[in-house]
Amino acid sequence: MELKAIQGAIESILFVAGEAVTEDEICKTLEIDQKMLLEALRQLTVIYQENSRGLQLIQVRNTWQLGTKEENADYIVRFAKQDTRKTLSNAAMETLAIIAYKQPISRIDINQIRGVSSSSSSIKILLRKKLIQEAGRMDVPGRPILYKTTDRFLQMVQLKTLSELPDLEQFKA
Amino acid sequence: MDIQINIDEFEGPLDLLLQLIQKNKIDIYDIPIFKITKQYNEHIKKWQDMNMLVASEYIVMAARLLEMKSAMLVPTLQETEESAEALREKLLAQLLEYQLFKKVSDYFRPLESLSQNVFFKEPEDIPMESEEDVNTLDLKVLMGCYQRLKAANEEAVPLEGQIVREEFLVEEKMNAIHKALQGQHKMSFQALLHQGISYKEITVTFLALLELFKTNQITLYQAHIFGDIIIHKI
Repeated sequence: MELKAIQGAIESILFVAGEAVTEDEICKTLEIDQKMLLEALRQLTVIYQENSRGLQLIQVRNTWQLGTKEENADYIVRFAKQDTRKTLSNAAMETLAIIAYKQPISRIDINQIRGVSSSSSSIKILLRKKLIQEAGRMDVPGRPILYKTTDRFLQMVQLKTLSELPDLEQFKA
Repeated sequence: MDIQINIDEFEGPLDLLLQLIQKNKIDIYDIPIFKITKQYNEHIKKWQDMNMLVASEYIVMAARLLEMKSAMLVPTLQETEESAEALREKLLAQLLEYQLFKKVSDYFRPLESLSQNVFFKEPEDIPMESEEDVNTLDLKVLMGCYQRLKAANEEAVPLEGQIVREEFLVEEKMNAIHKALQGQHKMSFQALLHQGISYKEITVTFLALLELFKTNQITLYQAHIFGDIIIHKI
């Protein structure tokens, strides 16, 4: 398969997928190897960087997804005629920050750090926004649910992997 | 009335304390307990005067501050009581950790709004050829299915006779599956079920299957949903 044709095929696949697609999946579908795929994705990324293109390739771990470009957000909102972008509350954002660095972590430990008696509503919102997910249970009496961040969280903070999170020391002033 | 204080402004007692520390330009490592306790309690008092429901965690913190204050005034005699220094250390550690994550959330905040400027489209619903078309389902096939199920059901449940309680053990079934797998590499789950088998026995057999799978003694394969389960020996 020619490289240009591969790029076209990847674009089509990512368009219909409407969600992040793993490199493995694309390789299997197109019957190409990893090296070829990455080269095609690298070139596609460059093509999308052109001003004339309204989409961008977003990589999280080994998955790829097509999304619109940030600079077109206002037009999209105007087109949709309403702004559905709701930001997280401070409480939810704090909870997310704690989960990001302390995962997997239980609700009680989150409360402990935040110094409050309940983080349930924050956790509910984060679960609904699919920024966190359950990560099994802690092996202590009561078997509390543990939480961890999702790929959508990585997408939000624009990181490819969790290991790219800035060192916690960096925030100590 | 002075309503510049809004309880929602603070994310909890630690947040209130941090903001008091900031407002007073105090070194977090050297908090003047008396001053902070006074200001903290004034806030709580103000909320209560405004008939606001003050969350219990704020009251707990007020009590901690008072405990610290009294420990500083009166030397601790009993060993069970924590010294003022220990109480202060504990609070400091908590404040520092909370402050750290507040900073992380400040770091996340602009990223969040940035990421909200990217829109994704929903997955495409692509009709698959292999999906069975409901319209072309043959009535005869459906009837045949029903007949088979009915016949199987009649065999399994005798209409009269003594009902004997069946006892099946997962361990027994595990051994039975092991035995059945002897001399062959794979077999179907169907083959484990004899004619007229009860639901209870099927369930126990299935549990045994899951147990074997969990302990890595077999692998399971299913071609499609509700299809037969193929058991592979490891």
